[in-house]
Amino acid sequence: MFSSFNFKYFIISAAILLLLALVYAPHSQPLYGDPLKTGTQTKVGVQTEYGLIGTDKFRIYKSQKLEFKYKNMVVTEKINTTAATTGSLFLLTNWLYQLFFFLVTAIAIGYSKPISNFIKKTGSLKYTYNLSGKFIPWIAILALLLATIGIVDGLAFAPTDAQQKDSFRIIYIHVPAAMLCIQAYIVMSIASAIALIWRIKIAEIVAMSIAPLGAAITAIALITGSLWGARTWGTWWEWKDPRMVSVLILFFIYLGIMGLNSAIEDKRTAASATGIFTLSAFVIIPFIYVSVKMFNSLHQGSTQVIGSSDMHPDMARPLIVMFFATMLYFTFALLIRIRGEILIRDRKTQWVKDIALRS
Amino acid sequence: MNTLSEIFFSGSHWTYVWWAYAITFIIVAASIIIPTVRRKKTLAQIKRKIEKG
Repeated sequence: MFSSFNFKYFIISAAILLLLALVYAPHSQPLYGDPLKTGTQTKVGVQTEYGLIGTDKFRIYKSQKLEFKYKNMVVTEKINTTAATTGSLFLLTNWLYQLFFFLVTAIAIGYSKPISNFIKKTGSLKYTYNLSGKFIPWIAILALLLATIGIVDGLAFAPTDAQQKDSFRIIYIHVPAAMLCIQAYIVMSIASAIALIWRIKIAEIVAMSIAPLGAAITAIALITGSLWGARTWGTWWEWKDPRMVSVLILFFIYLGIMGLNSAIEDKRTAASATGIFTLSAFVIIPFIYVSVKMFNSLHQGSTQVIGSSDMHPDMARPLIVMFFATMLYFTFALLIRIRGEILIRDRKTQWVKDIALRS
Repeated sequence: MNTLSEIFFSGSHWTYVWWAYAITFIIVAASIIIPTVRRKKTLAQIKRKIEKG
């Protein structure tokens, strides 16, 4: 029974799934998420009848209530319940349950012959090039279709927000981009770890192809976030905000990885060096996640979109569509980069020469 | 021209939305076009080398 168990694939899949569990599971279910504690100071953006009041510090007197003076009048405003939370504990049982689920999946992958064979085949650059070529047009069509539906629905049909008015519609690109720039880094780290441990060429190519894409997506998250902040908080940028600054650091990490990769001529040495750098800089990812929970941040905490959501269904629907559209765009853009890199690496082989002659 | 300046410079809520979508569109388009052109150039370079012998 155990002779058919592929230990190598079990370890790879277990490492990938464990990393996912570590990142996602604690994030998914806070045990308690009491918003701002009484007496704490924070920065919030509030749309009041006196206009937008955003960047000053206010003292919170009652939980979920904000009280401040404006033109010698005491104004009380209810705070958005999705505002920054302080000191959350996480549901341990939920985390352990997800860990168990991932472990069972990893064992199944270890035993599965078709999956093992597929992983073996994707190690071949020629196979990956040909296989991705078949999928690319379909992924592109689906991404374009979903993006069109999501954008039209988000801009034309989603209702206007009571506080933020129409500027909230930036959510449909900002939130998927912000999520994707972190997920891209997680995928890049997994690919780098595989490349460092098993010296698999395709893993090196995947890791190196993600870096410029990740930088572009992080740039989108930063720019759209800044535009949104300018309208709703009254500030383009806040250096003391842990979420904004940590995402900016992530952007520089992506640029650093690109720079290091292009600075070393030998591709395999470059992959090793950037792999070590990528894994060392991984520390920024959990920090980005907890930054709005651990510190008083101008940036709001995460809002549940699926299930018992805080959002109106008409507002949440385009966001869910845009999540999938962004994922597909990322897969599409990544496959294009991977194919280009494969051609460069295998340019001396006969199969690449044949493709070149046919083009 | 009037309409364009109204869309991008009027300072309304929608102005920020249009700017965000326009910048995103440019970055997304560049992230697809640049590697595609690069791949085609690589293939053309390999073809030239083969033809030269």
